[in-house]
Amino acid sequence: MYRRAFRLQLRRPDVVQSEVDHEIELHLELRIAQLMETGLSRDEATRIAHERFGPMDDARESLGSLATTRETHMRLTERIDALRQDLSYTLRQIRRGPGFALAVIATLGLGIGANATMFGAIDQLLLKSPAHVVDPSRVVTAALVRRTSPRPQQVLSFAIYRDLRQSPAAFQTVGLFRAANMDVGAGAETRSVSGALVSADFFRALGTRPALGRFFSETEAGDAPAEPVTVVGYDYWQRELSGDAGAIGRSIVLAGRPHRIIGVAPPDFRGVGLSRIDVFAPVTDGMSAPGIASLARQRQSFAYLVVARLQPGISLQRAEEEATAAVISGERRAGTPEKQVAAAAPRISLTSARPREARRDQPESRISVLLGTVSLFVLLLACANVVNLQLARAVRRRREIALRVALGVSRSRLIRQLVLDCMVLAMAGGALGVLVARFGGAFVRRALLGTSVANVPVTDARILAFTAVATIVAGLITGLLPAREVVRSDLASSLKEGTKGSASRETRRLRFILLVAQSALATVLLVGTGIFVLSLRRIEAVPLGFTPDRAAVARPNFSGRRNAELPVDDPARRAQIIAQFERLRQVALQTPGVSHAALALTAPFEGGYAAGLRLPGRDSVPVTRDGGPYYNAVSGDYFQAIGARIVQGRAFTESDQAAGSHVAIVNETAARLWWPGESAIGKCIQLDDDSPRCTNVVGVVQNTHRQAIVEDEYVQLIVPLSQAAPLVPGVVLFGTTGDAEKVVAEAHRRLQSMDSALPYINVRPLDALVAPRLRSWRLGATMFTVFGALAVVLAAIGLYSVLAYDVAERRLELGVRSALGAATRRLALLVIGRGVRAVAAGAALGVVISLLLGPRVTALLFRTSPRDPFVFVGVAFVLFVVAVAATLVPAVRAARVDPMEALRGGA
Amino acid sequence: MADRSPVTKGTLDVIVLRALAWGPMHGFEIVEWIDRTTNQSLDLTDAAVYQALYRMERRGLLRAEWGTTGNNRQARYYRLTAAGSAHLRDETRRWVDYANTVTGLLTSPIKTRR
Repeated sequence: MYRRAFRLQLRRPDVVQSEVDHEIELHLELRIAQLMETGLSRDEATRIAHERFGPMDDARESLGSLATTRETHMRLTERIDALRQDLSYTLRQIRRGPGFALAVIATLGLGIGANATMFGAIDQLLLKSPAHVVDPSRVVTAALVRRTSPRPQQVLSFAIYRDLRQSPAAFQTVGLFRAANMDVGAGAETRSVSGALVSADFFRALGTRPALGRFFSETEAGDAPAEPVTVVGYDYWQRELSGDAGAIGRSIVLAGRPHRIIGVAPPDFRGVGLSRIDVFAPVTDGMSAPGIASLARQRQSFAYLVVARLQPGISLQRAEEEATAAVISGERRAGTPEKQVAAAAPRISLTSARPREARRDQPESRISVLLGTVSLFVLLLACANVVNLQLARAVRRRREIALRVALGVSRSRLIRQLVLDCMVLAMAGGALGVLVARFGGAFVRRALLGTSVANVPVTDARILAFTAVATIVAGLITGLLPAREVVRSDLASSLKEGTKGSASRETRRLRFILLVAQSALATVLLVGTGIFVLSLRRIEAVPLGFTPDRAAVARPNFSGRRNAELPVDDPARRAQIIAQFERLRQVALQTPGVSHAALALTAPFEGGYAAGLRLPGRDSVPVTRDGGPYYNAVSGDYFQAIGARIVQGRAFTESDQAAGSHVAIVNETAARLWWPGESAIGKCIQLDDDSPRCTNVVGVVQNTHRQAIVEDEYVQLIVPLSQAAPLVPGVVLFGTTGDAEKVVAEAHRRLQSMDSALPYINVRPLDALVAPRLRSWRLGATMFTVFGALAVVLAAIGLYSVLAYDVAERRLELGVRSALGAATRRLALLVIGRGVRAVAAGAALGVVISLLLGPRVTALLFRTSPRDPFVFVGVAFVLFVVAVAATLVPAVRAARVDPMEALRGGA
Repeated sequence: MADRSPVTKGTLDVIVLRALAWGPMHGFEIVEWIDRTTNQSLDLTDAAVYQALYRMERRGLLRAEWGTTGNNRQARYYRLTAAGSAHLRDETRRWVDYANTVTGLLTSPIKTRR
């Protein structure tokens, strides 16, 4: 009796104390008896016994507390022992049925991995604060909102940056940032790295401290830069300068000129963006004093991200008012006509640099949040599957479980054991999930954010923590549900029945519900797959007006000029630049696979230029919501090179020279808006502010997209390069006979080896400019396809395993029916019917859920209804095929049950 | 009883372990064994012995189980665990080494230097 009480550790503190008292009492009694045997009186003996024992109260207390801590200690040890026993039992179980364990681990691993992958992406996009930015909630980026422009201008001009510096009431510090590829090294060693042009106060606005050395001073990044200096990124410093502290003071060639390294940015510093930055240069790097002065006057060349730190205590709204006032007074100082200012009503809008606000509306963010939600669904599905497998297995394990209960294992211990079983499997699944996230994460990051985003190590604490939580939740779900079922069922009867016992009605119902839920989830995911794939196919099919996969663009950066687009007023210098470009064009043309080569100011998706013009007989020039008119200057073969069709009139020819009559080509929208109902050919456009000279339209070109796949129509005007002075070409374009991707490497080699003094020439297929715009669409479709396929496979496995167990369980019943003369076809139909019923119910539920959720993803779709009937019909078909396929094998097995064997086995 | 030596905690532990080396005993038997073996020459209350027992039980050197005495009384019987035996062995060796060293030191002939 006592022994048992001791073993089970049920003693409470008062019990413990009474045991202590009992022991002391016994001791005193024995002592008194011993003393009385020597002839002492009872009183005398009692006195001596107490004296020899020592102070009674102290002893009781100290023995009591010692006993209590001993109990706690022992209980703990016993718990650990129990856990160890359970664990070894679990491992034995796994060893006995490794197939089952592998199925569970793989299922949960994929589910958890999908979640960890998407969490990694969401964390990087939306949750993680930008590294090395102090108090990011006070850091804002400024955008310019004008009534004359449909969208807010996210990057601002240098002049507006200067204006904003004039509002100390709003901002502590205002900094400026422009991402730019930079050439590092000289001659053939030249390489293009990702860089940033920044103002001196950029780092101060963010509160960033250098890892080594210092950042730019006001004079180094100001009006009178003395010596060219640079700050290198930590990664670049580690990679290229072997992390040597002596790199400070050393010189590297940047944009053709030696720059002294004055500092190293802290590790992983990416400003408020996501792209890695290898080198920083002052915004005025390489510019002359007049150049800087001219830059400061440019109110309309929007290129710079303005980042500011708010004054303490000021509200965002107050700061916006202050900043707006500063910009308006800047416009007045610059002499912008009052009427124009009033028409535009420029306003500064500020957004916190915290990612969840700054990037909330980006398609990347929205698609990853959506996919994150979807991955949760996949995990739920995986859990449902595992629960189903566990339930099926629990039926087989009933005899063993009943035996353990009979042997005195408590139900709570049994539940613990079952949950532990699942927890161990879930943990293995979690480990697999980390692996999945490692590779999946790399893929998603590349697909979502491009290659310049730094890799996240597999040991990223936040991803690991997330994975751990997901693992525990999965372990609990998959452990507790089956455990509840197992323990609830009548164990005594199952002991009698043995392994042939069938599942209770409750268990069967739960299994059926799980099947329905799985089918519903699979349906929702399949519908998602369908509409996202449809949407991707539609957006990929959008005609861009040119052939991005059959054209490439080279952007040489002569003499390190970063603003190659700026007009060159010196005719000799201009001629020199044009000659250099012409040589490149000739070499490009000789590259195998290149059919046409042309020069242009700019290329589609490479940024555009606006032109001022007048149309005789009209007060204003009609433009679309997208602004403009946009302007380009091109050489003869331009349209053939990019694959744009001249729909009316002619292209430019050799005869369109500077001295000849001025000609232009307009796009279809311009032709329609400017001369509605008439032919544009021969019409007059006045390009010069000072003279009424006509530039005659000689052709109409089909609309080509300017900067996005989904964009408004716009009006465009194109002139021959020879008539575009003082502008100079900025790009060499070439059309290819095959895939442009295959030509660029060779073209680059040829161009680069022309002259060892050439800076790095970036040659990219036009597709490389277009593809990033498709990234989030592709990712959405790809991941949905992956998740959808996963869901269908999981649902099919779930269906198959449940039915297979069902048949195995009901062998006896099926055997009896068969013996009684039931047709085998009927038996098969019995099984198929059960599977198809579950799938049909799930599909119906899934369709309802999809219809309800549909509108929430409309914004992420391109001209595709989330309720596209074609998709729903397709999904229904796929599900039906999968359901039949999954039920087929169990059904055949049911039909083949040999009545004699079944009855013998059941006896 | 006039000249009783004080007993330190560590020493008492070893003494109690030694008592139990004979076999399981309850508290009174252990106290009796110590008294008998040392001729009551140690300055020790009975409670101190119980404290030693409880302490060592917590450390896992002893294990206690309820049992029945000769006159049919319930008593806690203590027995050595494997860890307890090992501890007794180690402590005994240390004691003997220590005692030998100190004895040798104190009984060495005194040389006067002059």
